[in-house]
Amino acid sequence: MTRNRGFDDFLDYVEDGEPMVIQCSNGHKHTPPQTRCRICGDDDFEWIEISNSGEIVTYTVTYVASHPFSEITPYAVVIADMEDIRLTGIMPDIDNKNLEIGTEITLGVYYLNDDKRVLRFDEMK
Amino acid sequence: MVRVSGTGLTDFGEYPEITSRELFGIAANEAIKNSDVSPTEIEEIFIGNFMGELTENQGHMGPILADASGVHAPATRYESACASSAAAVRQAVRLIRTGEIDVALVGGVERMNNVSTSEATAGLASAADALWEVNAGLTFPGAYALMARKYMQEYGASREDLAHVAIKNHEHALANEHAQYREKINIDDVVDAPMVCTPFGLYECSPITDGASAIILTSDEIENSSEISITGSGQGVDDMALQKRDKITETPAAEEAAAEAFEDAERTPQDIDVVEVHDCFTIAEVLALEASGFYEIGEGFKAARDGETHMDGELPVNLSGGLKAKGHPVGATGAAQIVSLTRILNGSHPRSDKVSDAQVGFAHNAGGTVASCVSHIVEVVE
Repeated sequence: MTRNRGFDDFLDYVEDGEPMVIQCSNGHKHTPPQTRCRICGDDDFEWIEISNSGEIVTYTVTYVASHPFSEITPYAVVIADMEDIRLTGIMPDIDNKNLEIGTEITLGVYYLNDDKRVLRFDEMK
Repeated sequence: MVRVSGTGLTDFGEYPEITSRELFGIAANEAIKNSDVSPTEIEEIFIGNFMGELTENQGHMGPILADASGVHAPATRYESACASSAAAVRQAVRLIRTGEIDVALVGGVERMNNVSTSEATAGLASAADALWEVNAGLTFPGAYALMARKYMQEYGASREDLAHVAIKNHEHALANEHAQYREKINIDDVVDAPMVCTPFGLYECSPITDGASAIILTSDEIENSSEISITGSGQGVDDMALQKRDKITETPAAEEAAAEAFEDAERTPQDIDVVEVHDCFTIAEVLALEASGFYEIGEGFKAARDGETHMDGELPVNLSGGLKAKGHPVGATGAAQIVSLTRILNGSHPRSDKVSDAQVGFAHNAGGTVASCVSHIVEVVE
């Protein structure tokens, strides 16, 4: 699968256990790619490490999906607050009853069919 | 003044064997026939379509639909996901106001039931952020489910509160001969339905619909017997991915669109007698009514539950049945709302008698999770 510059670099960082996003020179964090900061207009970005943990802002347990996710239903899609930035990821093999807004999670990567990489959240142990 | 001279609609429903060009041709033909203009007077065509490339392998929809309508005029397709045809309406309104053109054919079409549910689901998901949302397994209903879950937690709304939006709109659709679903439903039907993505079951989501809508818009240069005018237009934008937004439970693009449309028409929400909003999911109607200025933030979930937006209530919302029951042929929905308001206001709609004194209507058409929103004000102007 062809890489998406920025997005796949982000997943590489997550997979290496040191998640990074990009930040403009005025400290506004963004998911890459971002050419111009939509908050201040700055166009000078650098990668910066973010916390590996956060908490659930909202979630949905998905029963009807399209290929290839239809093979792993039900699964949860979650938006999590990672301190200065929010991310959207998957929680596979989920039981609805375990999920709650505010639950603490950690970042990781999930492989779907061995070749599709997905941002993954795991409940903090 | 931009007049709505003619309106056309196909039946909304499952018509897998009818091509987009035929669907649009049917709607356009009806709109032309009940307008005051002849096809040769049409100077430009504005088309809303979302996923023709995906379901029919057909891009470049403008000339195809011009031909199907029997109209020789420059034709362009506008794409803003589910807000595509309101975006098309808006462009036509603006060009008529500048004096550039005097007669426009505007509308939209979508054909989705010719592909599998999985393929249609994938097509709809392309209205969300492909990198950051769909890559994480998010479906389009899932995106609105994320908004609904957060809204319920933040404002204490229950799934039953939201279900009343679907129950109301199904009831409204009973009289609409074009509606996809004409059956009354109750709370148990909603909460016992198969789950799509929590907290949404089947009845909390709009269906997969084929259909088309069309209107003829004219300037004051054209002699016209219609008293219905589009007096306000507005459009807003937001970050595409929910994760980028400050508030997952608010839709500022709709606030922008409504504010601009109200200012344009020199109207306020208090002037509005009848409303059509983009209820692709139950929560969507709630968020639309709040952002458009009809309810305070966090209060809109009570509207359907308390009967205020019912056809017998103070502010009837979605008298045609909304996207929920009338159906949601994505690219046709925005212009279909203008068709509904026009017919409600000119007395030719099956629910016109519910709002017999109505003078001013408001339409809200959203794209994606309201990363795009286009609103219009339609009123009786003699």
